[in-house]
Amino acid sequence: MAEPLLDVQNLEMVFENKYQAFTAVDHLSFSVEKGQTLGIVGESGSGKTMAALSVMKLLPNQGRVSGGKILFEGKDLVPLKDREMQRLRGRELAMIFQDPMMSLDQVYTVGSQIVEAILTHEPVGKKQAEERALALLAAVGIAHPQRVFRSYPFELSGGMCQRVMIAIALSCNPKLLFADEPTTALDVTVQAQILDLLRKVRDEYQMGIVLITHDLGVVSDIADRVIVMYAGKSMEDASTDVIMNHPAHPYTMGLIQSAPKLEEQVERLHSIEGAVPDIRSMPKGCRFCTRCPQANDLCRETEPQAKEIAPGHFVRCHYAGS
Amino acid sequence: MTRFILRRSAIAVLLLFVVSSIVFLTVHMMPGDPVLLMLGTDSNPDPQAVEALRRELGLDQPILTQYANWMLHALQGNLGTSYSEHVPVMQSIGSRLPRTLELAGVSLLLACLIGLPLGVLSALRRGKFSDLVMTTGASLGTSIPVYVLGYLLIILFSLNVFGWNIPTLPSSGYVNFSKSPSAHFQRLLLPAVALALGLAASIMRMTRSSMLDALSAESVRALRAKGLPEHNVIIRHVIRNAFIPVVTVIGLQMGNLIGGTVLCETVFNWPGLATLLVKAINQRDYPLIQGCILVMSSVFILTNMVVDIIYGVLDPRAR
Repeated sequence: MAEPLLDVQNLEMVFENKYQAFTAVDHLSFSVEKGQTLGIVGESGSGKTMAALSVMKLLPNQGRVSGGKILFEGKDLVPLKDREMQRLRGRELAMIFQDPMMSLDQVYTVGSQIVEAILTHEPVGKKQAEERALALLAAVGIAHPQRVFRSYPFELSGGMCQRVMIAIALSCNPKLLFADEPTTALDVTVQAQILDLLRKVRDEYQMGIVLITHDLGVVSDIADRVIVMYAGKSMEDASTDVIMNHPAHPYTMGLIQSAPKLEEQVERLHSIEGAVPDIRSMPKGCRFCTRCPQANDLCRETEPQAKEIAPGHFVRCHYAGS
Repeated sequence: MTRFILRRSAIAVLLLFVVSSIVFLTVHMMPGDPVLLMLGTDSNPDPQAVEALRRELGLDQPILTQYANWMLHALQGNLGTSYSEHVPVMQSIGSRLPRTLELAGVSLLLACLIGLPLGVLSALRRGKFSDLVMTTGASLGTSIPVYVLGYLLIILFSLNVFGWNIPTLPSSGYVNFSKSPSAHFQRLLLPAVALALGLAASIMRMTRSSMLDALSAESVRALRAKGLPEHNVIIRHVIRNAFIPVVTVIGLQMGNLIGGTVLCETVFNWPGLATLLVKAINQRDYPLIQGCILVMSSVFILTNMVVDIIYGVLDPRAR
């Protein structure tokens, strides 16, 4: 098999100041191939966004990649300088964010922000860039590209803004797209449209997509493979079908149970008790032991290693597969 | 955009009307009688002379009639004749206003030239030593009153108490530009700096905090994700967004600046509108006071209108 588009090995990412360092992403490995979608699922604070920002090298000030390799087309991104990374961002790697309204600069027209992205990376004239921007707006399903081109972001709806963000992300035909909660801030009907759009552009451009979300429904809709993250670690890693139908980690099971289902009438929604442990005080054993219904002394004392319980199905639990 | 400017102008005209009415009423409510001052209060003035002068000045008429007369004349560009100088108010203001505008304008320019770049710089160097030096300097700058700073500058640069090896600047006075440009600017420098520093400090502080807001906006991360070079992110996007609230603050500070000219012109003996106003108030020279305040408020309203328009240009949401 050819080498994957993106191959992240043992990524470790810390927040640090002068006195202490806290690990936010702990030995995370994943890979994405051309035309494939990887879903990274987890609650807030599980480190999924930080993993994506590590690859983009857009970590906040106190964050730093402290270990592991990020191979993009075989080349390690970790040692790259800012300027080299700048050339990759937008052209090879693109990213869209949770709040599309806030992601656009409010004082420039939508058109000028797309044109800006094109002109940054491509040796084309302004006229050509404008034509391409209009074509992109049409390609992401905007009905009146001319009008939207001249609009300011605050004149558009959230769904429209996310389409515009996708148009910007696509402007230089990137090979890999990170989508960080791309539908969370949107209406349900618009969510489905945006997911359809992502699927369409993935197939058309043969792009790899890393979809970060807390919503298993979104993942099952579009992802080929899923990683379930908890407190900075991968808990379960398998194909979407296996995760949805044969989950092996208690956390994954909990997530699936707590997703509301239309076809069932329930009195109360299931919920996983408690919250993700604080980054500054991780439990000694399994990170999920504080909330796991099956946890015992072994879980509280010893941290489980990831094991492959079936081909391509990795689980970090003492009792998985047994 | 044209509609936006027209709307702003209409509001400005309305404001001017309201302000002039208030000015007229407050001036006439001031204690002290101009007629008695003109005739000399030491002796007991002749009641007949008082009555005659009062009638001559039109002060015997009901206040509303006086107001209507003044307003009618003002609309035709006639602000009356000064009691004390016996020349048309428009004429004395006409000779003084350019000097005050020059002082205020140069100060504003200086303040922007100092405050904006320093604010941007200290935000970009947040937490570093240079940031600390700049913010401390700004706190100092906002807290020194104009008149203290004015005398301080005179002591340092005119009296040159430390014997610095610099050309000493004249401490006060005014020389016409056409007579000697260099002497003119030498006398402008100290008052302009004294007036500018406080404004520069508040502009700098506002720029800094608004830069920090703009830097932490989510759109900045999205711009970096687009692969935009960092200097483009800062100049085209962060600074542009950060300057929007700063423009408003500069507009609000115009009132302080015009108020500051009163103190500054007094300290440096700059023969501008403000010194004229102080003199007029001491003399209870009603037409001159009204004229001066009206012109000053027009300047204030006009600059605020310009600020509003700049704001509209910078921020499409405000149009």
